[in-house]
Amino acid sequence: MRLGFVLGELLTGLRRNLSMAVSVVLVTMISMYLLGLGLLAQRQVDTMKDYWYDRVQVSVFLCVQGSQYANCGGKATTAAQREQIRSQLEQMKPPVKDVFYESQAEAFARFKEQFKNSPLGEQATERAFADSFRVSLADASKYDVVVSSFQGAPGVGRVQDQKQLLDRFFAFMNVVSWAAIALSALMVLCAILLMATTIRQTAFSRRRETGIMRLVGASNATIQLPFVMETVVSSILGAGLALTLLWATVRYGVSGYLSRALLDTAFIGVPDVLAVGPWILGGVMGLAVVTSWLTLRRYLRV
Amino acid sequence: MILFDTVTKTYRQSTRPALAEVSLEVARGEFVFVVGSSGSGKSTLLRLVIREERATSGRVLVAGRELDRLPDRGVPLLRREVGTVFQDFRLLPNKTVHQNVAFALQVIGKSRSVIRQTVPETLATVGLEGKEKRLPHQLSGGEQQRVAIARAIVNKPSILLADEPTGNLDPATSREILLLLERINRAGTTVVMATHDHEIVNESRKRVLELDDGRLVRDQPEGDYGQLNSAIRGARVMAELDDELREAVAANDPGPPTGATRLLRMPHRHTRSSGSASSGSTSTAATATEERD
Repeated sequence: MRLGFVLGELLTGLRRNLSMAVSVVLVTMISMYLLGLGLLAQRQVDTMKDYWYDRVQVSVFLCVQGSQYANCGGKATTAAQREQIRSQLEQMKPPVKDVFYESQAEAFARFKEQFKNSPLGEQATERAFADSFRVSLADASKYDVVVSSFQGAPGVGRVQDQKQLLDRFFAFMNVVSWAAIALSALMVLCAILLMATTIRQTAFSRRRETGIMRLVGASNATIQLPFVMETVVSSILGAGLALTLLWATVRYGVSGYLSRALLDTAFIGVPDVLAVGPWILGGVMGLAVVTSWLTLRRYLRV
Repeated sequence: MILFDTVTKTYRQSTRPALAEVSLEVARGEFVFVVGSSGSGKSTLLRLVIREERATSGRVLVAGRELDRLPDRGVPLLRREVGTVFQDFRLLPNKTVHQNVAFALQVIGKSRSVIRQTVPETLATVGLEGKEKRLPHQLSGGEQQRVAIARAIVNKPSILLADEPTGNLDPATSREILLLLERINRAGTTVVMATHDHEIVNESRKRVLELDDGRLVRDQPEGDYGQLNSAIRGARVMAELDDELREAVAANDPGPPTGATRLLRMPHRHTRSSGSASSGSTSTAATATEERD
């Protein structure tokens, strides 16, 4: 088989079957875009985990006058109790990395600053806040050591672990990304069926050529190659477009907008798109080859 | 070159064999006619030679290959040694004469220089110089068949199969095509030609194989078409058809006529209704009215 001849036949084939080729390109594009979004969402979760688990803190809330916490009994933590807790925390290094004290007034000020654009900030009163020790950990998974030591200790209102909050958020992100992947699986199924239909239709419209090729003794590979090539080229084109869209989404949507709007969070970037790119391209190529091979085995008998 | 040893071919969905225990041998360089009425198994015989079909039983040997044991990947190589021509030419309508012939070489991976040399030579052999750039629809039937023959022999096969190559052509053109096939045969190619063309067979005085209902009934050197036999067979076919018609009427099948039954009924209705008018037979008249409903 001469390369020039193969390429010539490939171009003629694509041109003659343009609408079908375009539909394969588009369906592949959409399915791969969804798959890419799903994969990128997973990477986003990983990135955020890395970022947040380094910053995760355990808050040890103390009691204030009229505190709601059952353990307080309505009494404020005494200075002695507070110092007792502080020294206990200091002794717990290394799992504990850092300890700092935040008073009720400081907590209230920080909240007002964070929500200054929201009605929440105006409605809040200082009484809703408590003095607390903020404990950052060297290893986020060791939070339970802190929790178990201080839960129910005298003068401690409540021990709150931020990781639990984050985990709930990450679980939600996971569900979103899996939904995208499931949706993309459905689209991939559509793409496979469309490829198979296209090949069937093309095989039928070209039965004259393939009949003559068989008659003059062209090998199986020669007869099937144009069909496989057409499918592979269309689907790679679709995957390429999908990657371009993903790149644009991340470049302008995430890097260009989200990460500027939310400065205190880590986001995925263009390198992440480049990381999923080869998988998407390779997967699509494999899919196209396997689909066309299976279809041709049925519809292009030699 | 071609050897059939008690070959039987029964198609799926059919109980009657298309070929029944056929044994024959065609030597290298021979020119053989295969004759017989439609459905006698001529095409099946040719299809077995290029392994378009596989024999149900018996052995087929072509160009030193035992086709029953030939693996699928060996089939293309077999077909490169056997050229094939059909009644309907089977040219690619959007390719020129030159491209049609070159196509056969391109798809088996011949180099451009080989194609550039061989295709014009072959087109000259079949008498199509100067028409290389024409499209098939710009050619006469005879010329189209020459293109098809050029395509079949461009790879210099040792066997050329022709399935009713003159079936669509007028007598003068048919004779020209036969002369071309004879010329190709003299150059050393074994030619097997299935045909309905009495005149060509009778004029050529070549070996004739006659098939009837899947059986080889005659293998005659310098034979003729066997007009008498075919006439008898023709009458027999008519008689069988008539029987079927009679049975159909007797069954008086009330279901909606579909396909073949409708075709069979049409002439029958006319004969019977006219017959009933003259004879006055009530039973046949009743049948006729029911038929009309």
